[in-house]
Amino acid sequence: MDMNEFGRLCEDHRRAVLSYAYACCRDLAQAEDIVQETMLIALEKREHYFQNADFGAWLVSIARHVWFRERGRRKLQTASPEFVEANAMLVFEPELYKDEAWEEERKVLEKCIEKLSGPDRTIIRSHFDGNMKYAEIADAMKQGLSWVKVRMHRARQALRRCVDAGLRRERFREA
Amino acid sequence: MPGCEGSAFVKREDLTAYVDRELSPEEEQALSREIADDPRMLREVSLLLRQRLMLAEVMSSEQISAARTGRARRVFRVAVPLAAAAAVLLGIGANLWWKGTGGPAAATVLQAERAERARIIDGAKTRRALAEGARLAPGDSVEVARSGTLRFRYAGEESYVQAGEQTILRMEASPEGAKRLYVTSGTLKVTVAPQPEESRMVVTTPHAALTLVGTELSLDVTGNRTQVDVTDGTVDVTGPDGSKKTRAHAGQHVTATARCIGPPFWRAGATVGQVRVLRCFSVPVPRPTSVVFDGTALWLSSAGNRKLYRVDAVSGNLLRTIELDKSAGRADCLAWDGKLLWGAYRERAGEKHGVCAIDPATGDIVESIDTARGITGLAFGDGKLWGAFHRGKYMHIATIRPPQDPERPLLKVGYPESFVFAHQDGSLWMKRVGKLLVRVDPGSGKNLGAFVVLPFGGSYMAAGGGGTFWLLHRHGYHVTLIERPQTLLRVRLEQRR
Repeated sequence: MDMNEFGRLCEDHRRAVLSYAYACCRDLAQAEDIVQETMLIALEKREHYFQNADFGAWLVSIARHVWFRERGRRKLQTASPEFVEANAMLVFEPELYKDEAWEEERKVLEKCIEKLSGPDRTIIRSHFDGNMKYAEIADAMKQGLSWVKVRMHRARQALRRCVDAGLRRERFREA
Repeated sequence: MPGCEGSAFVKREDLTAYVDRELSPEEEQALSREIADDPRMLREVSLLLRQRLMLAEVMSSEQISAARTGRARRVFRVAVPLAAAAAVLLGIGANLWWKGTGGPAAATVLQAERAERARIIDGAKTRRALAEGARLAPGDSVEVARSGTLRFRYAGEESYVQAGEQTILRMEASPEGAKRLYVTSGTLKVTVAPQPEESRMVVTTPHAALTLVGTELSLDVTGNRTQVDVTDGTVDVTGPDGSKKTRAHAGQHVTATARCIGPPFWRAGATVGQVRVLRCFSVPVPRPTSVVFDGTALWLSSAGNRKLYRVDAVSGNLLRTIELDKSAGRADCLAWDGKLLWGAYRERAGEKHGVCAIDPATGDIVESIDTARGITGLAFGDGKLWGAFHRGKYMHIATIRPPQDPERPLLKVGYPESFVFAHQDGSLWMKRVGKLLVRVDPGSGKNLGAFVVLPFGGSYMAAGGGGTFWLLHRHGYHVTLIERPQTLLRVRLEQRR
């Protein structure tokens, strides 16, 4: 495969593979290592790629091997449900991870997090920044597990609504 | 939640818990079956997983790698009681102040402790001399004249602001009782006691907004830039409109202009953990991937092209660029033998791995040595060229020149993450990603101790001579020269960070 074409395909699929790796290991730094390793292997083995095959599926299959190797080596637990791992190509569609839309949305999301209520922001930060499980958050906030579960869900939905509204505003402004 | 409305048996919050892996194995299995049968639920899972990654990226950009593990938990567990205690205290303070004066909350009241050649400009633009003990209210501005000084304190707590000569600042109103200052120009030293997360002190300038987290910092604001120097704690620096966030830690400084916010640089002389920072500057190299010190200047390779860059080790100015031969690939790692540069290539013509000696004057490859495995680290010391490579579960090292004695076993030195290394003081030094620099005995492969380079990040490094190391911050496009501590920690290489 032409190197330019190969580079472009890797770039197009990079974030979807990162999302898969992050779903597996729940550690962004480690997920980035997995992606880097995946891309290196893909580069070395690019002659083995069939032109008509799904490039994303090929990368994910390499990423899965890299993750299995790391998991075995470090005795880690898989952090994604088995179904997600087995159906990675259905779940991590490259279309959802286009660079331009991603960056725009990410900026809006940053603002939306600040707009969350105090407890919701604490739950989100504790889970994503502090890597805390729901039960740990419930203990720390002296609340029940169900409360955290419902609150987490509502916070995530609120973020989605806020991001959608923010993007609509941006597009309206541009228009 | 559009994806789950079709299923009467799935609670709306279950899908979120599912992607967060917070359901019991039985619940997870049952929900997996539901998802497999319902394309809308599958779509919802895709979107939730996408949101997970984006949230992780946002959080990661807020916290530099130094604080990633552990700190966030501490912040949470300390912040909740602290926030509660502070809220009670602030509540009491605000109540008393309100009763006494009919004014705003105590946290927003500044009282001048020392004032020389300073004037207050009230809401009606009336200027009057600022006397010691005077109180500033939201909306008031302050001017400090040449050779003047002003120190004021927030009522009810140990938070101080000291304004230098020719400083103009305004106390901003904040409905929730948080501290807000706007600095138009001049210098400011701020010491702020820990604040509740919801009402952290924010200092805004024409170029940046600084959110202080229990911090001591200096600020220098001129017409075209704001320089923030953090002495203690951390400061989040964003553009005035909230765009782009950079977190600066104690010992770092950040410069913001109207157009951009620079990366945090370490202040020369700062002691961070076990190491002392000697120098820190940006390098004019696109996507730098490797660094080596030739005794007077730095050589860097780039992931974006086949060039090597020679950079002044004092100013960071680009001295020279050499183009590598196309057949040689890119130099993923570099070593310096006193005359020639050595570069290792993961891939060359014919899918071979190897190292090349490069003439630094011309860029010509004067010697090539094929290696059986891809070299991931190079170092030169005691007349030997050392290479590091993966073999099975562990990282190994061997001499490339002279070639390793086939009778002698390869040295096993740790996990593959220890791929960056250098030779100094008769030892090999291997950097584990993001955390430790480990001293390894080149004869036996045993680790002789380590020191923590965190929070310098998972970057590349080179020996700088005399107990110093150059660290290349790949994402920040800058290098830092550090001095290693005399005392090393005992570590087990098998333990992952």
